[in-house]
Amino acid sequence: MASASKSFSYSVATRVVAHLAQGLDAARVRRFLVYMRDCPELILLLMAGSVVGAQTCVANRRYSTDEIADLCRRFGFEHVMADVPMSIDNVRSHYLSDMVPPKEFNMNSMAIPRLSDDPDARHIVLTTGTTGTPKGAVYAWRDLVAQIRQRPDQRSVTFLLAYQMNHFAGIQMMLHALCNRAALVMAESLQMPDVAWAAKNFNVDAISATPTFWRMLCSYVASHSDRLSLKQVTVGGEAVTDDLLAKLETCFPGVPVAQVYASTEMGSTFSVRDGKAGFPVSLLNRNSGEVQLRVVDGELQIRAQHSMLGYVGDSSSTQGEWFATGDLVAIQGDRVVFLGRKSEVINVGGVKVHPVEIEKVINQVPGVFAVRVSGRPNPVTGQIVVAQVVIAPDSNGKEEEMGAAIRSACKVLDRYMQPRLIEFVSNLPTANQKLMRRPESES
Amino acid sequence: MDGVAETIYQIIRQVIRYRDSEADGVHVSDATRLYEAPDGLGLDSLEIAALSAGLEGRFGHDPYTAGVFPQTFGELVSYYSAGKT
Repeated sequence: MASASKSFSYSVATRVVAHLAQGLDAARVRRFLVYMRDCPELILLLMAGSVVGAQTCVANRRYSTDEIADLCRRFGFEHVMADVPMSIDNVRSHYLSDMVPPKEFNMNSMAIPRLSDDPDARHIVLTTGTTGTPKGAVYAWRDLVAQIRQRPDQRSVTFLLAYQMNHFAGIQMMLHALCNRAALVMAESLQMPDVAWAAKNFNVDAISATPTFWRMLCSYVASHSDRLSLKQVTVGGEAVTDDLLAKLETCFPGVPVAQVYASTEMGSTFSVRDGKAGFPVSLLNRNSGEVQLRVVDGELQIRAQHSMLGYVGDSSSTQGEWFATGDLVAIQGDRVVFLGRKSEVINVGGVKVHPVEIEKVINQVPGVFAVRVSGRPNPVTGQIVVAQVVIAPDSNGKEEEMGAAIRSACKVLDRYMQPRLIEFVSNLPTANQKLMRRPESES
Repeated sequence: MDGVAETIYQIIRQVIRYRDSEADGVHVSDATRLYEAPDGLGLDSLEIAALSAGLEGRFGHDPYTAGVFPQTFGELVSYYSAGKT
């Protein structure tokens, strides 16, 4: 495990985990919230938590003290492991360095327990919660580990972590690397210059990231005439479109692309490696297996054996039940393709419009670095389609010409889908490396 | 055309840019009807929606959101001219 400032071999990491686990035991910390910047030590702390059968949860590091206090109150956390001083009523704040084993602790005599052995070990993943307060999806560590496919060929691979640890995908990436005894690199931040630097400096072989992240990385690499020698590209978390797959092929010729489907609630459920958008219809309506899929009213539903156990304080969803994913799909021939999130659908005068389909067209216009399509309230049609475009830094395109080129490209779309407003911006709002496309609220 | 009328004229030109026919050739006068065709601009609901958004973006408010439905170019211009004074 490596970051710009620190690295841990597996043997050292195992000792640190044992040390931290003893420390947690000595301090009688059984449930704790983590409020730290993503770093190798955070991962070791989570492993220690799982070893002692603790309940762990990683909070967004951008949360304010008030938000952390609220989380602690709602989820009943009495301990926070923080990298800054924190003062919250009825909550004890610890630094990692406080977790000291008792004096008689003898590293050499201690049998090191295996990750996930303890059936009580839980990890709570917070939902992104763009509306309202986040919910906590409770997982058994053993379920999280059961989702990981162990592959001998992964052992020599160096992965770069392109997700935050407070999200499911971060946990999943961490476990994929750990369970396969691979190397995991953490960049200083998920900004493209830091990512590209870490990828080159640590000879990263594989990155798993969102389409939004990959679009940015491809554009960054192209505009800096940089080369990354990746051997494995994994995409997930948002709808993957053919234009993205083509872009990846241009940027990383011949590198196999895996598309994974995962969610905070269901975990990592299936992956496709055939290089085409969507997944085969044959995966639907199977009556056996750890993961089952079906389409109800155009929405993908999943039932997964190793899904979350349920939400904290809410018994409405439980493990082994069908779960509506919020992802809209369409069946095209022998393929199930993703149209986008249900919550992102734009209603233009009664016609439902999917942002992803429009973004797909605009992303192919030369000079476009990134685009986000969303709905804006309108007195005439309810909502109208707005495209916010970031022009590539090396492009000479002027806004006027770019606007004309985008409109011209959008003529292939149904009239209701054509963006009626095109705005040029310097960056786009993202959450966990995904574009935020929810319609703007009525003001 | 004065400043306000010219600004609104430019917004209308932007609004109809998706049309196949040339947007450059469009001519308006105060009497030009906004929604009828072929004797007017023939703006449909999507174009009116875009016009509303364009006006809102430029002036900070627009007649359609306020519940006013100007019928001619002149009425639209005077909506803003009246508000200005």
